Amino acid sequence: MKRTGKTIVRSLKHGILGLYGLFSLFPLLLIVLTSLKKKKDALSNPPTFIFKPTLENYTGDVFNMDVLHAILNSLIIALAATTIAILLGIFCSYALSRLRYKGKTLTQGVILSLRLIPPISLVIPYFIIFSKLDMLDRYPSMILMYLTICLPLIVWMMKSFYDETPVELDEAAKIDGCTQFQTLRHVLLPAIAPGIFASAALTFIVMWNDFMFALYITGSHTRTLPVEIYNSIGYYALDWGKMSAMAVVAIIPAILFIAVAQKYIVKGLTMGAVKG
Amino acid sequence: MLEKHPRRLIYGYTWPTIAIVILVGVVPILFSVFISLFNYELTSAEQPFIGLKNYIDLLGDKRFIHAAVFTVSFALVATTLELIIGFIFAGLLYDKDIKPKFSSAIRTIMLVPYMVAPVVISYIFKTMIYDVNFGFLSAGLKAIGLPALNVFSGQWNPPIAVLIMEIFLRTPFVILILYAGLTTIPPQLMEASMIDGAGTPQRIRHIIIPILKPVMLVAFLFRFMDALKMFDEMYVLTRGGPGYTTENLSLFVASQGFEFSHMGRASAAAVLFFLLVALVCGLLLKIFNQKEEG
Repeated sequence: MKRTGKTIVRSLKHGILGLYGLFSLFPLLLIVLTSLKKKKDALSNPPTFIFKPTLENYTGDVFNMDVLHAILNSLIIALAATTIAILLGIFCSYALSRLRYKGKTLTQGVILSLRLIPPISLVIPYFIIFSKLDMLDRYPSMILMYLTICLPLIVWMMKSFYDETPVELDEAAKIDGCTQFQTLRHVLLPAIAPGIFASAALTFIVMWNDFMFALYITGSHTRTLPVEIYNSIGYYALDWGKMSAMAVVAIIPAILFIAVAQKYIVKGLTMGAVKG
Repeated sequence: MLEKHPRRLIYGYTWPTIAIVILVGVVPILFSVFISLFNYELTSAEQPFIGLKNYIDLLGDKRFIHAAVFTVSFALVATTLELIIGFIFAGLLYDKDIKPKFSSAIRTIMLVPYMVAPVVISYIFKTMIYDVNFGFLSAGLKAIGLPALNVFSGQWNPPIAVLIMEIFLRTPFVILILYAGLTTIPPQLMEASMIDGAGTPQRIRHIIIPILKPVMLVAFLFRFMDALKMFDEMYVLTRGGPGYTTENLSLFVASQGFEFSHMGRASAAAVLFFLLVALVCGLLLKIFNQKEEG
């Protein structure tokens, strides 16, 4: 009797979690399915899961020059900001993790406080500054703005990877005659390479997903994919299939990232405060 | 272990980052403070200096006060619910009845809503789920004999609709953090408590919660901070409407600046918003620390 009770509880627990998993995938499933529907199927009432799939939403009609341009812009801006932040972070995080010096706490505090600033509080001054300098709708201004998000994320995440690498490695390298820079380059960097990759990937996704900065600072030249999607909501109105096809493309990087680097996500999102 | 190094070298490692942080973070905020002292209109040629008038006006503006109260209360409710739901699911995922492979699969799957662009998720909710004519919500209600529901009208429906989506989107983050915390509890401790005859509620109260406390604090602070700053979801789903019932501070600042072109006033609101976030987070940290000691 007791055993059957246990089995029921066990399957109940699995059931609840399984349901939660399904629930999490539901929106994703919805856009993938809807993107394969003809217009009349997409708007069937009540919503249906049975229909004849079509690829007509994935043609040049939806993925016109504007959308392709937006995808390219998203890639360029996110990649550039991530690369710059990684290059800066490699050295800054190294110093924060390994060296002892005056002003370290202050440095950490200043970088961390960037995380406190509401993005909208930056958008207003940026908009005025960039319009005065005639820099609205240019790549450099977008990349600069995104550094406010990337830098704290990368510096703190990479610091935690340095922190986890044993100091004995540095010491051994020193005994072998490496200079500090050589130690960093030939010993530490290879050791934290997966961490660098994970930090870069996470930062890339955050940039790729950003909507607010792009909404106010980009124009026709630098418009990114999320803004293009938002603008199309009104244009396509009830043409959900076309919208969904765009949305499916927008979520590809995130899905790839989850598949490849999920074990680093907790650490990244808490900037090293919690080990995953 | 850590040794002293020539100063030149150390600053060589950090100054480029510091310089950029000052350029992209500190300068705009200071500029914002400066602009907030002017009657700065995008549309007019003259921008007269008006001192603190923007701030005084804001504090007497019902719409601003509403946005501030709404921002803080929405963030508090959302974060608290996320923490409670997150705690339950983290516990389930950690439960020894659950096969490790199953638990790990669910932990991967649940990341999807969290990592996907909020604009995309908001679009899906706005149309395929919440749409009054063609969405799943209304179809479901009709199927059980209830009338279709327009979630974008009325005073309470819109914020609740956003709240539900926000919880769906952000709870995975809390679950992951709490799960990571749970894995640090030594198994011997749990076994010992079981031998001593402690039931599940006692174990939760006397072992799990005390050990999990610092991790819960991290989860709460991160989530709370981000919930205060929320923009994308609100902008796509309700855009502050109907009227300005769901207008939070981010949307308020944006509409003052970009819809009405009151850049001076928007800057003042942006500065107050930043101070509010810093103040609330500082206060929370202090309260939590005091509790820890007490």
